[in-house]
Amino acid sequence: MSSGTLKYILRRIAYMFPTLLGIIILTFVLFNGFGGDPALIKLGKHATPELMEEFDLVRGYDKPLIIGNWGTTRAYRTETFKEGLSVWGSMEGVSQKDGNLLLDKPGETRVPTGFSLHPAEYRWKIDWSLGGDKPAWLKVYGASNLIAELELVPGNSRGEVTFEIPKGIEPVITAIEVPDSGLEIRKLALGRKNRHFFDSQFFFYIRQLARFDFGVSHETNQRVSTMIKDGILPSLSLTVPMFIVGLLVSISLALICAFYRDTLIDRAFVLVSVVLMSVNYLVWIVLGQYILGYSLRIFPVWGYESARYLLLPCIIGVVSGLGANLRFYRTVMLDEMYRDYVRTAFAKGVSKSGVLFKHVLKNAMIPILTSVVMAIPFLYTGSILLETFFGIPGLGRMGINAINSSDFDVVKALVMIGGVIYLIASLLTDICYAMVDPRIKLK
Amino acid sequence: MSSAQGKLRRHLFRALFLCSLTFLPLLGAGCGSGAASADPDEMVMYYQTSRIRGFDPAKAGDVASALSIARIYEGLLQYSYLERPYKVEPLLAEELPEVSEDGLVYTFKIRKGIYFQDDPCFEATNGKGRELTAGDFVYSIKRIADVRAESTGFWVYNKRIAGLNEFRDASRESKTTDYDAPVEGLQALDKYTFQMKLTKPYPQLLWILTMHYAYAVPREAVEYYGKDFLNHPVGTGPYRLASWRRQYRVEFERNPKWAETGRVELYPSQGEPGDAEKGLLDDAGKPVPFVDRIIARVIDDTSTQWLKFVTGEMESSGISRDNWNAVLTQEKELSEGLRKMGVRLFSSQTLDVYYIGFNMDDPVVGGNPKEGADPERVAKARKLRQALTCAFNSKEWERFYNNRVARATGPIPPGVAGYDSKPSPYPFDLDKAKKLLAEAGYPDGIDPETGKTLSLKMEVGSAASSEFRQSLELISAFMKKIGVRIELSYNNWPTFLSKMDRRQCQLYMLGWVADYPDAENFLQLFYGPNSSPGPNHSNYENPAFDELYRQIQTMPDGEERTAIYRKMADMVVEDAPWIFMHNPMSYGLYHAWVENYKPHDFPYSMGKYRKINVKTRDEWKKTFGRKHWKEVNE
Amino acid sequence: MSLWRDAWRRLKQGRIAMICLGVIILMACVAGYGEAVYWRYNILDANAPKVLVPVQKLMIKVLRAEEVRSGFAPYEKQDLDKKYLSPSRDHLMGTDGLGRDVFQRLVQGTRIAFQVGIVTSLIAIPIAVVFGCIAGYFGGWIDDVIVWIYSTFACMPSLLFILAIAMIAGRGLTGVFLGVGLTTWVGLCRLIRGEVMKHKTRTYVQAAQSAGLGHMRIVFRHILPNVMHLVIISFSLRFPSAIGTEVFMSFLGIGVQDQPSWGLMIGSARLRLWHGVWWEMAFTTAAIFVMVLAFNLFGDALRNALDPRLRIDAGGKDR
Repeated sequence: MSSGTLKYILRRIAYMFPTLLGIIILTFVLFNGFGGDPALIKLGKHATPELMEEFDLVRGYDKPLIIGNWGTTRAYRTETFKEGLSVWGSMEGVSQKDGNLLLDKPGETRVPTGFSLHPAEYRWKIDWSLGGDKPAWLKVYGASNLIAELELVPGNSRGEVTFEIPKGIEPVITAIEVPDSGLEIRKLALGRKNRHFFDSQFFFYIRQLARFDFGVSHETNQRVSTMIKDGILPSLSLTVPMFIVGLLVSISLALICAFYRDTLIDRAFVLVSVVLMSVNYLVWIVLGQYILGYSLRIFPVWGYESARYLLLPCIIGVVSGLGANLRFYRTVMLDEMYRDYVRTAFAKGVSKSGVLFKHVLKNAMIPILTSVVMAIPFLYTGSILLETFFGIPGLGRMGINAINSSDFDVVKALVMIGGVIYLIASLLTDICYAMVDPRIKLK
Repeated sequence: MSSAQGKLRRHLFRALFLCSLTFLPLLGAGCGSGAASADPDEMVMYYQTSRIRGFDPAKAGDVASALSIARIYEGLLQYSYLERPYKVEPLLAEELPEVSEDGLVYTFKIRKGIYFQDDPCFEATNGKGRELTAGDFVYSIKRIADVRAESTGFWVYNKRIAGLNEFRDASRESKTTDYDAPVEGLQALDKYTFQMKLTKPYPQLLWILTMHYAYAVPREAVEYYGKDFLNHPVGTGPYRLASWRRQYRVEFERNPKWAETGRVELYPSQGEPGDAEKGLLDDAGKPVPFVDRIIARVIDDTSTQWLKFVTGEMESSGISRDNWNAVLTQEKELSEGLRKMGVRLFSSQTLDVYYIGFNMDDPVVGGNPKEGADPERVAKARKLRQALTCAFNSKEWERFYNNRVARATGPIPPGVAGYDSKPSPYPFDLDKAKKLLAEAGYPDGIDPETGKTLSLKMEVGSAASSEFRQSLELISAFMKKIGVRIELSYNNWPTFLSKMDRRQCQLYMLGWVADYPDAENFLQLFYGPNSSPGPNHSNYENPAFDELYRQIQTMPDGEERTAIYRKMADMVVEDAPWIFMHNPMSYGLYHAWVENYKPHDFPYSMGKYRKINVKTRDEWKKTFGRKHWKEVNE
Repeated sequence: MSLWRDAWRRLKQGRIAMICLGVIILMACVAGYGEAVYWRYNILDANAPKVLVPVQKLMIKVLRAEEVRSGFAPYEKQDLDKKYLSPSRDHLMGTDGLGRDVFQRLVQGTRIAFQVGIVTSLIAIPIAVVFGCIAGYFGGWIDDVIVWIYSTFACMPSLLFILAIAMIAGRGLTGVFLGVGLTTWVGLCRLIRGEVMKHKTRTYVQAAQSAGLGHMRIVFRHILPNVMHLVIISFSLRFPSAIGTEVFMSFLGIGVQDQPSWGLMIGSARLRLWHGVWWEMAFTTAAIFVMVLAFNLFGDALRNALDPRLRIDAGGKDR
């Protein structure tokens, strides 16, 4: 291996890292940023703010998303009052006005917190508008002693107050003292002090990944890594044979096409491949299971007991992929047929089949290999439909169950690992290329 | 072409070939998990289950997991199998507990000679299962309270047991939980005496103690297996886990420790009238469990489930929506073909309530009857809700569900003390609905101020099945009859939960599945302090109701309490924070060879009473085999 | 432009391509008819959102439609007495388990299929075009960032990623649109980027630059028309795979929820297949087959006519 190639490979590996980071960011944004509320889903019908707070604490969902000094607490969740009054709803002297919260009962109004705050450092943040000339006050009491207060001056303004709840003072109550003129609140948020600036969900995620820990599924209570370990073998035992058989069959057929290029046989094959491609995958499975499994009873309909149970899904997988594969490999072979060396070989009087097997197939190995390597990530995801229909406990079925039950950690891990495998596969392909052709440079 | 290139290609080709060879054995290795033992006399039961979420009693929250856990673990008490209304019976306790006069101290005598199954976690005894002691219950309940153990069951003990909340707070503050820290309310007085001290009377405690959140878990196992404990159950129960391929198959086998230690459990000899005629008492007094081995499979697809049932590969089956007409006749009887096969149908009413909830915070439909609220507005909004209740066409609704549901008349389902069979004051009655609607200020559904039709938005969770979607359309058609427009808003489940949590629903559709057969479990859904984000998603708040609720919270079972339950239910019906839709019926099909089966709302720990008549099954398979059922099915 | 005229001439010579085009147009008409039926019943529905009230009034006037009512559209009309009827004159393709007309539902399915094909393209193609053009034209760090973004997207396991996005976006058509739309732009983006890079060095671009035209103008006015054929080819090739994905998603219950889609129809037909009810399955399958086949063949022909050297892979392999 020349030093140039080595250098290329090293650089290629270095280029992998930004993409890896991209995968991490993308999965994080998708699932932590837009995903639902795991505590609500997990605790279900018995969810209360305090139980949810504890769930968040153990799973790290109370930390800020990316970075920050303040995390969230279930005692009071940020409200902007655009979508309604939320926990304020059933209180007296409270109404909604232009998407703001209007407090118009003079005197102290208690902020409806879900529970008395646990000992820690907190911060109230408030955006208000106040008419009149008397100020309003936001006050925090612990066991009836004033702990902190914030003056809300007349006009439009915002402010914040931080305070610490020591151990053993209960109950902690936050109240807003409203003057006669009433008080409008645009936003009210409560944050709990984070351990440090970088103690966030994102870094929590990265730390987890560094330990190959993918969290815990809230649906099955299993660690996600255990689930993946469980599922990978069934998935591979279906996809690998399916892939290899599919590959061998379609390459052989493609060779036949190349051999009989532009004859009736070739055309028929092309037509068949397009027709095969156009039959929906679902239809293959439904009819395959119905006819071969149910009506003719050649194969078991459902289960994962022995190799016999995998035969039918395997056959269906091969047949359904045949059209596209055949078309692809035929193009690869024909591309090679037009190369100079093939013409030279013909000119030298090598027989057609000799050319085909000695030269064309050999040279076509590179594109074939590329497609093989690039198929690896798909082997890992398994076949969602086949696994669901035939009851194979693989990753595909696991993934679809996780999606159906909004099990974010599992889906996140599956997507993330799929991405990384793809990344590695594409690295391998590029390295193969570089070793075959040392002139290849980055980009 | 350089020779290096050619070499590489040859290598690659060979590698690919080798690769394929190495993977082929996977085909065999990957599957299967050892067939059931070859012993022909063994009594094996096969059934279909949903996914099991581990065998940790602290964590399961769903029926399938709870059923599986209850085969392996046991609690102090259990439900009566045959007797109705449900009673609590001692299981690991010698008898029902001694309760102090103030109802605060419960003392249990624990049975001697109960052993945990053998397991490597018992290092002190070389893997031999040790005897169950009172300390195990202390530990197990502490574990539910441990924040770090992530139990889903703390709500059952929350603020009920002296010192337990302090224990929980301590576990929240520190990284590791100190289980040796004493909790005042949980004490092992001696090896066989377990005492619970409550902070206030808890009349539901005995029901609670039948739940898996009160099962005895050995501390050794939890510490030995750590995070993997949920995959290694170690219990005292009739069965032990033989093998488990998650998402696919679980197998239980008779716990040999019972025979070894001479533990005997007997089939009940008391039943409901009629049980003896059904043959349910034939085995009275015989030692259980009958079945030696239980094999359950996870089958998601309803048609495959059905296939497995009719070929005799599963002992029981539910009836899926698509199969309803093929299985039952118009009169709700089994179809001719299935009857010929000896299949039996069991139907029973469940304790679940399905409802449409109004958000009482909503300016249009809401208005809690509490101090300071504008009484006229409250009354009008109440009339509106009552009008919508009257517009709900329960006849049509039942027909839509093929009579698989029965109209609910109030928050308390039939079969629970406090249920009132008197007709609802707001039955389906269009004239009444229209009248009430006019009184509410919307004559013919028109808001006189704006001249527009009254339009309400109903939030629903997933709309996965077309049946569900059609039912929603049916509801909007009902309301249309009195001129009210219902706008449907489809959400995915997490969004739906979050909307309810944040009180952003105007109307929403939901169901409640009972935790125990006590009306309190239903009435808590209307208790003011339980408002969202608690379980009272309607945010109903009625001071008079709340007062009564606080009263019954500590009241022992009896006539007086039942009377209050009725009163509270009436209040809810009158204020109509919900449109009570239905209590579903449950239908199950069982093959002839399943004996001692009786429908049960809380069937945990009941698996040991089932029996399989292997001879009947073998004969059935010969007679009906694979050919016959196809005709039957069509 | 002669490129297009030339391509059209070549395309016209292929008989199969023309038949396929005819089939596609026919299907599009069916979809259009389905759309009309759908809107007619949904706008006039009593439960329609308030915004539509003026439209309702207009329709009642123009179409002389009957009053607003809360009935069922023909594809939703149930009649339990008529369930599982085999094909007859009244019901060309029989009825399903709720007595609904399979033909009407099939028409609606065509409508959904076209919607999915078109809307996902409307999401994916603009992303691909804008990113591809900008990256190819400006190069430098902009190019680096865009290449980084699309290589990240390219790494995602395609089907799982689509399903995950759909799960987060919420079930229903929106989920399908976003899931498929946001994940299938990478291939086209890469192609356009390469092509724009080639065009950047051409004289016409340099002339435009020296004439002082704005960059955006050069990219989108001058270069883009020259790579437009890529967009057309990619559109025709992605259509069938988008339809396939929708069928798949709806079948799994993650896609369409409340409208008759082909995936849902296969799902319900399958359960009844065991009872010997073949027609719903057969006709739905046939419809998908014809549509996808037509698009596949036509797409091939189009590609050959426009740019014979081009290789675009139609879609992911994992299912």
